[in-house]
This record gives sequence, C-alpha cells and structure tokens, in this order.
Amino acid sequence: MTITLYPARRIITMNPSQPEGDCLAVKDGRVLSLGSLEQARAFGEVTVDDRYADKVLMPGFVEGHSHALEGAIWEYIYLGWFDKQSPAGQRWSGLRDVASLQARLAEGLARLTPGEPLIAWGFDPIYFSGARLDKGLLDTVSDTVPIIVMHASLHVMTVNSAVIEQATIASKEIDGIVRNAGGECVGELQEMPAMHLVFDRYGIDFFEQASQPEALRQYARAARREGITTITDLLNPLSDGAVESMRSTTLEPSFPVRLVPALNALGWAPEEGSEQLAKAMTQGHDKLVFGIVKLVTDGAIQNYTARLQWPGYLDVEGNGVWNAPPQTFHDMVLHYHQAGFQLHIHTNGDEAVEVMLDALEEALCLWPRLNHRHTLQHVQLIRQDQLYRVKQLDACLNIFANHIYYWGDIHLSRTLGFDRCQRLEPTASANRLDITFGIHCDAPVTPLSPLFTAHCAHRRQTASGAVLGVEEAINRQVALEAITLGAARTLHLDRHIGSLEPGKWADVVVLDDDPLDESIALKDIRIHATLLGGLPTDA
Amino acid sequence: MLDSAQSIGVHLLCGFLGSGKTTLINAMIADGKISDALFLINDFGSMNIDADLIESREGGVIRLTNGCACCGLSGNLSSQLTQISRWPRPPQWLVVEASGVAQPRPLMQLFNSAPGYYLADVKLLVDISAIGRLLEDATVGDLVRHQVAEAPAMVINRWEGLSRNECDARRNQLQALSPNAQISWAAPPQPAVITHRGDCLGEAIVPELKPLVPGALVSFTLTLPGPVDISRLTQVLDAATSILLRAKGFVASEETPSGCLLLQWTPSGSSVTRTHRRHASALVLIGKGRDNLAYLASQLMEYSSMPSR
Repeated sequence: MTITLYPARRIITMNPSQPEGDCLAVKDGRVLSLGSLEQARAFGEVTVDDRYADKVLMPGFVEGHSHALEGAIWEYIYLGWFDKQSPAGQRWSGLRDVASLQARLAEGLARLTPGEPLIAWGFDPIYFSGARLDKGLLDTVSDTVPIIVMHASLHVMTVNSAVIEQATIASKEIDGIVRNAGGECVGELQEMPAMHLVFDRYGIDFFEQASQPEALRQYARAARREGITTITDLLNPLSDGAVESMRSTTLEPSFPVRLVPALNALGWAPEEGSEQLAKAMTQGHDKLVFGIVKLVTDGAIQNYTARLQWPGYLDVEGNGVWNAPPQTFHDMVLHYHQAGFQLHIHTNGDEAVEVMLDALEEALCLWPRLNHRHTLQHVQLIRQDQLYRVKQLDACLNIFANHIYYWGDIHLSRTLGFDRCQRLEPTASANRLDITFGIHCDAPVTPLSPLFTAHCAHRRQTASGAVLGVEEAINRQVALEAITLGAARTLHLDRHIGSLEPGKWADVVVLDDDPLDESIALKDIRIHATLLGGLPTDA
Repeated sequence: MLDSAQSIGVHLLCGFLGSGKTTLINAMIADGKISDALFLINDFGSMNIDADLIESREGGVIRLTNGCACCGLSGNLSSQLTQISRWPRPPQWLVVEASGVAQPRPLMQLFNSAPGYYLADVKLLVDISAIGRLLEDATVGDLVRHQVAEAPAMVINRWEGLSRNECDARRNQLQALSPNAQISWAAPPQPAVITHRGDCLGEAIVPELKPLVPGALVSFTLTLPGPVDISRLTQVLDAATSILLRAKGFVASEETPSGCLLLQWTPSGSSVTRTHRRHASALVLIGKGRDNLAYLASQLMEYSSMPSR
C-alpha cells in the first residue's frame, strides 16, 4: 500500500506527546506520521493529496451516547420546539405555536400515501404551557385520516378523532386515556396500556424500525455530516436479526462510520444476555464493535421520572420511576461485571447515581477488576461526593451537556431550581478530579452534533441565553477532548480511535475553521468532510 | 371480553422481586394443569424447567411436551403482544410474569383492553417475611405500597418461618393498605417444587469427606489443570461446609471452550457465570485449617476433573 499524505492548515491531534501535526500521512488505513513531508517519505513513496491544505484536521468525533432511532424517526413529521436537521440534510424549523404545528401536519397530509396514518414526533408539551394539544386541534387538519403525534418523551401521544374511532379507544377503561369533565376522550393517550391500542391498530414499532438497514444508513449519514466517525446505538435489542442487519450494513464500503451497539440488559435474562453478546462479538469487525451493555435505571428529569434525592422536584410532589427493582440492577451489574463486559448505566437523577455506585462498589469489592471502564451515563445531577466515589471506583462518566441548552430554562424554573442547576452536567468537576469522561447528545432526544455538545459544555448557555453554573464550564481544549479521546475511552476504544497518533485508525474530521480560535463559537465551526480509515467518506 | 372464545385469556402475576412469581410459574409448568398456555416470563434465566418437559428450543421460545411454551418478556411488551396475537395459532392462555416494579392496575387495564386479549385472573404475590422491610425501604417503599394498594387479590408466600401473631399483624397491614383486596395464603412449599438451581445439575456423586476439625482461618489457591465438571465441583464444595467459608475462581469447562466459568461459592449457595474472557484457571478456597483445605483440594482434583477422551 502506498502512503497518502494530507497537508493541512492545522492538525490538532489530542496526543499530548505531539499535540499538533504538520501533515497527516496514512498507510493501510492507519495514521503513519504527523510530521513533515520529508519525515513521511522516510517510510517510502508518498502520494500528496492537498485537497485539505487550507483546512483544520482533528480526530473524528466520537458520539458516546445516541440511538439509531434517529435514523428511523425522520420518516415521520417533525413537530419539535427547536430547529433540527434531518439525516438527508433537510432543515426543519422548530414550531412555537399551534397554528404552525397544524400547518406542518397539513403539508404532511398532502404528501401522505393514501391508507396510511399520518405520524409525527418530537412534540414537547413542557414548552407549550398555554395550549394543550388535543384531538380538536388535530381534527382541524383532518378528522378522517388518522393522525398520531408522539410526544418527545415517547411516553405520551395525541391522536385525532379518526384514530379514536378506528382503534375503538372511547369504550376502553384505561387511566392513560385522558378525558374531559364530560367523560369524552380529548385525544391524549399516556403510557403504554393506552398507546398500545394505537401501536397495535396501525402496526407501529419504532424500535424495530431502528435496526433496519435503511435506518442505519440514515443514522450514519446524519453522523457523518456532523463530523462523527464513531457512533453508538446505546440501547440495541441485539436480536439475531438486528445483529445481522448491523453486520451487513456496516460492511458496505460506503457506510461512513464505525458503529458501537450496546445490549439492552433489561431485555434479557443475564445469562442469556451475556451469551447473546458473546455471540454477537464474533460478528464484529473494524466498523462494528460489540461488547458493551446498557442498563437503564431511572427516567428523565424533564419528564419528572428521574429518581431524585432530597429535596426532589421543585414543582411537583413525588419521585421518579425505577425500570426494575434496584436489587435487579445490583444483580445485573455483578453478572455482567464478572462476565467481563463493560457496563453503561443510565442514571439521570442523583438517587439513581447513588444506587448504581453502591452496585459498582459491591461488584468491585467481590471481584476486583482493573481498567473496567464501567460508565455512568447522563449523570445530570451527580453530587460532589458521588463524583469523588466515581474517581475512587475508577469508573467513567458520559455527561449529557446538551441538556443545559435544551432544558436548562425548564430545570431552573420548574424541575430543579437554582442551586442544583449550578451543578447540572458538572464537566469541570469531572475534569478537576481527573475522571475519564465524554459528553453526549442522546439523539434523537437532542440533535447529533458533537461541536454543539462541546459548545454547551464550554458556554453553559440555555436556549433563552441564561448561563447556568459557570463554575462547571470547561475550556475549549477540554471540551474537544471530551468529544474525541474522552468518549473513545468510555467505549474502551482509545487503542484505535480518539486521537491522531501513529498506529491508530486514521479517522479524521476536516473542519473549515479552527476550533481553538476563540473568536468563533464551537457550534458555528463548519464541518467540511470526514475520513474513515484514511479514506474520504464522500468518495 | 366480548369475543373471549377467540381471545387469549391472561393470567397476570405481579409482585416485587423475590415474592415467589418464578416459583409459582415453575410449579404451574411442572403440575401440567394448564394446557395451551404461553408463559411470558420476566426473569427467563431463573426458570428451572425439567428437561423431560422440554420438546424444543427455537428463537427464544421453549416448547413443552404438554403443548405449552415459554418465552422471555421483551423490552417492548406492546409489540410482543401484537406479534403473539397474530401468530397463526395463538395460545389459549397467556401467563404473564410482570416485572418486579410493575404496577398491577395499568397492566390489568392493558389486558382488559388490548385487542385479542382478556384478563382472566390477576394475583399479587407477597413475600410476607420481607414485606415489612420493603414497605419501609427508602428507594422502593412507595412503589411496593402502590402495588399492594392496586392489587384486587393477594397471595401470601413464605409464611412458614413466622409466628401466627406475626402473620396476622402483617396480613392486617396489607389489608389496611388495600381494604377491598382478597387475601389468601399460599400452600406450604413442596420440596419437589422449590429447588435451587444447583440441585438439578448433573448426576449426584456426593463424595464422602473424612471428618474434619476446623483450624485457623486461611486461604488456599488451587490450580485445576484441565476442564472440570462444574456440578461435581460444587458438590464437593457443598460437602465441605464444616470447614469451608468461601470459594471463588475461574475454571475451564467444556461448556465454554473460548472462555471459562466463574464460580462463587458460599455455604448458602453458589453461582456459576460464563465469561467470554480466558483466565488462568485458579480457585481460591477460604476456610478453617490449612490441612483441611489441602485435603479438600485433593478431593476436588480427584472428583471434578473431566475424564480425558
């Protein structure tokens, strides 16, 4: 194989021994040299490719927590509050009032295949404090074509009269069917027993669709556009069908990212789950890496389902929900830890963090294991004493920095209040304690864009412009490390990715602007291209 | 319940972790009184189905010789219910073991309303020896209280170790939380029904160990050269409870040619975990008396090594 050499305006490596590079030389898909043309020539004949000569190169971004559902859900109409871009590159503006929501549904209706229901997603009622979406507002769009609006939480939907009739909802006795004082269905269906009537009637299964090849391709396309070269699917069923679909799709030469799916531990009995994962690992290759396990413990703060310690939520009574008894989480942690796998544990509230730190400590006492890299995910409300325990247990964190922008105003005024917003997403504390950490977007919960995520961790600005917890802001260099090497370490893949270092895979993001230039906001840095294993992904 | 002739009748079993749901399901399968039923099981790995009853295993479904079948409760119950109701030949009954944190009321409403199903029966199982502690528990107390309050019928388990007065007091506590619930007492356990997972492994050899006099607390590391028969190994350990406190380690086994087995033994039980990583085969014994452990080690070498082929 020949050596390809890419000269660049600047190369930021994330390798402390050689923080900046001169030219990127690639051989056999790996980084060969970051020195000068002459130094690369010492290895043999060099072909110079100067297409990136005026660009800035960095290690490709690593998104350590997002979901392939992002690739499936754009088949449906987007009704979210914030602007968003689809995997195909189409910009969807955020919708701020009922009239524009109805207008977008009407556009979708005009393009709908006859006989199909009109499905929309992303509607977040926490931003619509005045009007409540109901069947009347949807019937204005159509009362004959079924219309289904999934809320952003995925725990609630609003439907029109056609759905209520076709799925025979009115006669059913389910608490989640919201009714007015006169007993009439208003169109809102909460939680699975009520929503099942609709899923069953129209054969809707979002998570099944997420494992299909076309959804995976869309997901990869969306990732590539944001400069991502390694992406996770952090809650995968890992059924035989899903494994086969991921294997064949990621083997396509044009598939532009590496994919790291996590086994959904609650979908399996522990013995069977680890068998299935070991089996899946035999199907992995350079672009598909199995071996991580996801455990979802509590819910989400903005849905009031995260498990919080005292004093609980600001504006509602009661605590969040557990997805299984805490003892089950202990047992699963012990099992997968002993079986030699790496755990990624969803913990939004500080009570969930506490319970899972206890479980990790127990597992590590019974069976010490160096370099386990078990990672707590989200950890939005983790306290200082808990951060210190994370350090003592040698665990890693993946912090949900995007929440500051998307729900920071809500957390300040409704769910948490002032003090806990000072410690929300505490990246600076994690950095100060030298904890290995990444930052993430949890797409489709918030949009894929590692640079935007880094911007959130750096600036800590909410959507309204307020700054939350300035003491927890990290500088650019640290934020950029969190979306590259930090995230790679949480996936235990830093031997191959996360920095530009001789021997590592030549996964690169090519930027139009310099991310260390303080005059340009990180979120405004433009992505020009990516390379995977040294090859441009747009070829 | 309009078309119950074609619909699937659901027996819903709720209850917190450890309340006896799996034991009850094991008993239902073993006694064979229910036919044409699909058992939808939350903790599939804890099922202990007699090998004689199993006809086939495919795609996560275990078919039984009596016409019933078992499969795990997936992460997406809604989609699973849709699929089952569209099977070419759906079962007549569905026995659902709910997750330990599930509330009975929404599930009852689900099965009363889901197309193709009707709710035949619902029970909340309660481990009365643990319920007092659970109701006071800081992390799950609220959840367990709601489960009790929503259950139309409760079956009380594990009362054998409690006095009459204790039983009455806790029963009254449950009734106060759910005044209209029917409360019944489970039948005393049949030794044949409640079995530990280890008890049904392999043939019994139960070696006769010589009488051992406990000595000072020591640990002893034993290297087992080749693959072992794990059930024989645990039987030898079980025979040494007078001097053995703990055994743990990795052993090679023909069950996991590319990895090994992790054994954790305590006097009250043992667990065996398959690992996908290769480890040096070593077993650490912690117990009373160096000579005793050395003797135990020799017995382990003799009884648990797989015969060479």
